[in-house]
Order: sequence, then C-alpha cells, then structure tokens
Amino acid sequence: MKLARLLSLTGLSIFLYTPIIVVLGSSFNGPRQMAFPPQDPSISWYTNFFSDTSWTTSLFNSIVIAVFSSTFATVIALVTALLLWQKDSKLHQTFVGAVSLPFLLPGIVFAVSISLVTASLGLLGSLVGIILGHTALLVAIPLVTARLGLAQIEQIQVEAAKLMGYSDRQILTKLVIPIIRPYLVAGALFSLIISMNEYIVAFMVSGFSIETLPIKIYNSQRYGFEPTLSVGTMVYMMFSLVLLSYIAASGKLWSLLGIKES
Amino acid sequence: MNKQQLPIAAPHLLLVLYCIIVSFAPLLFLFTTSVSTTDPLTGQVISYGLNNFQEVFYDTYYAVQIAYTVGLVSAITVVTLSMAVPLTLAIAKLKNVARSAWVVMLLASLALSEVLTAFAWQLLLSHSSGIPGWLSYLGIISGDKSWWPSFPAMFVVMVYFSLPIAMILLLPAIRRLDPFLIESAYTMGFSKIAVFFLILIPSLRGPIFQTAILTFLLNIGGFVISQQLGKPSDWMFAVFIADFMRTFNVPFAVALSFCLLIAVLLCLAVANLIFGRKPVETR
Repeated sequence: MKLARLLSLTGLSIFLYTPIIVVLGSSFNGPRQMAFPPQDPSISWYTNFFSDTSWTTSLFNSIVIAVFSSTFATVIALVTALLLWQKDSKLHQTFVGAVSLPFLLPGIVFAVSISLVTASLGLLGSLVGIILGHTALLVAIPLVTARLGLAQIEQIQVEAAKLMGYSDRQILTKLVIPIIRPYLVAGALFSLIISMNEYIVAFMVSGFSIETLPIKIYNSQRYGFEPTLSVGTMVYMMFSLVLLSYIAASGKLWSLLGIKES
Repeated sequence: MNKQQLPIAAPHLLLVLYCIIVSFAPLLFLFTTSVSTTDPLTGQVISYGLNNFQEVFYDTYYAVQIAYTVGLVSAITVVTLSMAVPLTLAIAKLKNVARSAWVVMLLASLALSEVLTAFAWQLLLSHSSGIPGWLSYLGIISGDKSWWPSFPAMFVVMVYFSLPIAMILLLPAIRRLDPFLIESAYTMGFSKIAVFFLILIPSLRGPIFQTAILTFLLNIGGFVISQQLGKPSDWMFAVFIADFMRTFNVPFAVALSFCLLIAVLLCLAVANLIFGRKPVETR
C-alpha cells in the first residue's frame, strides 16, 4: 500500500512539475528558439526581459493592478465579514452573496459583463477599470479568510473586553483586528497572486490599450515563441512562490485551508 | 443621523453602492445589451428586441457548441475528481512535514494562470523542447510533429489546471474524516476497495459535490487553454464569445454569454437535483 502511495504521489509530482521545469530550462536557452535541455545556457533572456520596456511596463501594470485590487478587495471583504459577524441578518447574508457573485459566475460571462459596466463608466482601457474588475472578482477570497479569522474569536473574549469598559471601536481595533490580521494578510496575498495571473477580465477591460504580463505573454505567442516568454512565466512563478512561502511561514496555512492540526 | 448610527450606516452604504456597481449592474447590462441592436458605425443602440437570440438560434450550431462545451467540462470534472480523491487521500495520510510540503507544492502549481499553464504545456508537447522530441531522440517514436493542437492535449491540460484546486478543496474534508469509521470497517473485514467505495466516497459525498461544482464553473468560463491547445473544432463556447468581443460584435457576444449563463444555471439545477440531495439515512 505504501508503494502504491509512493508511486501515485511521484506520478503526481512529475505531472504537476514537468511543464514548469521545461519552462525554467528553456528560459536559460542561449539561442532564440525554445529548447529543452537548454542549449548554450545563458541568462541573456533575463537581462533582455528586464531591459525591454514593453515587458517591464506590463509587469509594472500587473503589480499596480494587483496591489490596488487586492487592497480594495480586502477592505470590502472585511466590512462584509464584520457586518455578518456583528449581526447574522438576511441583509448581511445578501451582502455576502452579492459580493461573492462575480467569483462564482463563469469567467467569460463576468468578464464580458464587467467590461460593459466599465465601458459605461468611461473606464474601458484604463488601469482603474481593470482594478475595478479584479476587485469585484477577488472579494470572495479575503471574505473566506476573514470569516475564518472571525470564527477564531470567542464570545467570552468580546464579553471580557466589554466588562473592562472597551468601546465598540476599541473592541474592533484592539481585539478583533489583531486576531484576524494574519487571515486578512493571507487573503490579500492570495488575491494579489490571482490578480497578477488573471487574464480574461484584464483582457476584456483592457480595450487593447493596456497590457498586463499575462496579456503580454498571450499576445507575444502570436509572433512565435522565444525564451523571454519563459522568463516572464518564471518571474511570475517566483513571485507566487515567495508570497506562498510567506503565508506558509506565518503558521496559519492549515487553518486558512480549514484544517485543524492535531 | 447621530454619531451612534454613523459607523453602522457608512459600511452599509458602501456595500450597497459596491454591490450595485459590481454585482447587479453587470447582470443588468448583460441582459439589456443582449436584447439590443446597435449601429455598427457609432455603437449607439438603435432598437431593443430578440434579434441577437434569433441569430444565435438561427440554426443548431451554437446550441450544439454549448452542449459540447457542457459535455466536455463535465468529463473534465469527472476525470479531475477521479484523480483528486485518491491522491488527496494519499497526501492526507502523510506525516505533517511531507503533507505541508505537498500543500505548498499544490498551491504553487495552482498559482499558474490559464495563460502560463497553456504556454508551459505548449513547450512540453512541442517537438523542439518537449516529450515528442525526447521520445524521438530515444528512438521510441519517429517524426518531428508536436502533440498540440489536439483534443487529448487540450483535455489533459484542462485536467492539469483543475487538479490542484480540486485537491486543495478536498483536503480539509478528508482530514476531518473520522479514522475510527475506517478502522471499524477494516475490523469488520471490509477490503480496501470496499472501504473506498462504500465508506469513504459516501462520507465525502458533500465535499466531492461542492468541489465538482467549483471545478465545473472554473472551466466552463475559460477559453485560453482550449484555444491554445485545441484545434478549432475542439474549441469551447467561451472562445466564440471572446472572438465576437474582439471583433466588436458586442451585442451578439453578450447574447452568447447570456445563453452560456442560462445553460450553466440549468446544469447546476439538474446536478443539484440529482446529486445534491442528502442520502436517506438508514439504520
């Protein structure tokens, strides 16, 4: 049985990571064509990536969009989660459903419909439009983590704070926020990663005038493959890995996944 | 409005405004645009009517494409879940450190978007940088053809894209399973296969159903993997929507999106009717 488990998990790791290893290897290929194992290995495509303004601009756009949309999404999620935590009413449950709706719609359907909204607001083809689209898409993620964090607060802690004469504002700032902070940070980081990677909403709202890195990679493929594409992909992988490692190191990974460790 | 009400009223107002812009307005625009006809030159609405839907259902082409997409995504969901359940069970049984490492590995691979996943697999299935070239070098196969675009390539990559997400969603439920239930089944003489199908799967019915729904929703709205790895005849419905948006035939693209949304809602209703009911408990 142990052998079967070992074989199946080895197979899984090969399945999941072989494509990534090929991308990593091809990013170090010397000549312009794609090859694995890399021929005449060099880091020239990395220097090429960071010295080409079309690539660095699209990376910068992705970072700006991801930072703003994950921050806004976390604020909206926090407000929604706190309202439901304070009072489990029909209205507050409707808020939870409404802010989560964009995440649950089929991707293309939400992308098309939010592009219509941004067009009517005059935001099509602007960073603000993509930030709005990503914020809407991502709120569901920090909402889940914020609610997990709020579930850690016991009623007795709130009662004790009240007995000590804390005002509602003090309970919020000195008890609730410190307890749920790691959950909010993790939610914000998860949404940051997803925003950096998101293509469909960004493509529909970009109006062909703004390129994020996924849009740039997608568009560049039409002109043939070159190792800069692999470099872009690896930059993203490294970015996601650093953020995920931070979440894992925070010690909250298991409870964020809803797992109680023994 | 007094000071006591202010902190409560402000977040309500913020959320109402937010929900109008990002949740209700998109659906309203989706509906109104799908029933509008615009001037191709100015983009101004000329009239409202069911012209776009009449065009969609002029013949059976788009209906067949929706049915194909629903069937394809259902098959991808079934294959993904058939792999995810036993593999997640295997990971759940590992010791803490190994299990943590696997969770980080799964999270890292699911951080790859559709675009990056499609690109990575295009390299892996290319003759110059991937498996066909390696097998040809070893003399196992002949020829210099890449393995994409093709239906199998598209199918495998969509399963690859869905698998880590399904496993991450299943892991908490599998960890919460009562180990005594399984031990008692073994004590009663059940075989490993019988325990899997008669104890584990029924116990995980709810989480498996929820994961299947999310996997289905995740894939039905995507088009990049399908367009990049499949042949035109393999493309999913979302590719048509994206193409009509690219060519500025917005009302028709919106009408197609509306049809896809209705088809998805119908599928979810049917799935909920068939699989969503709690099993009758017998004693």
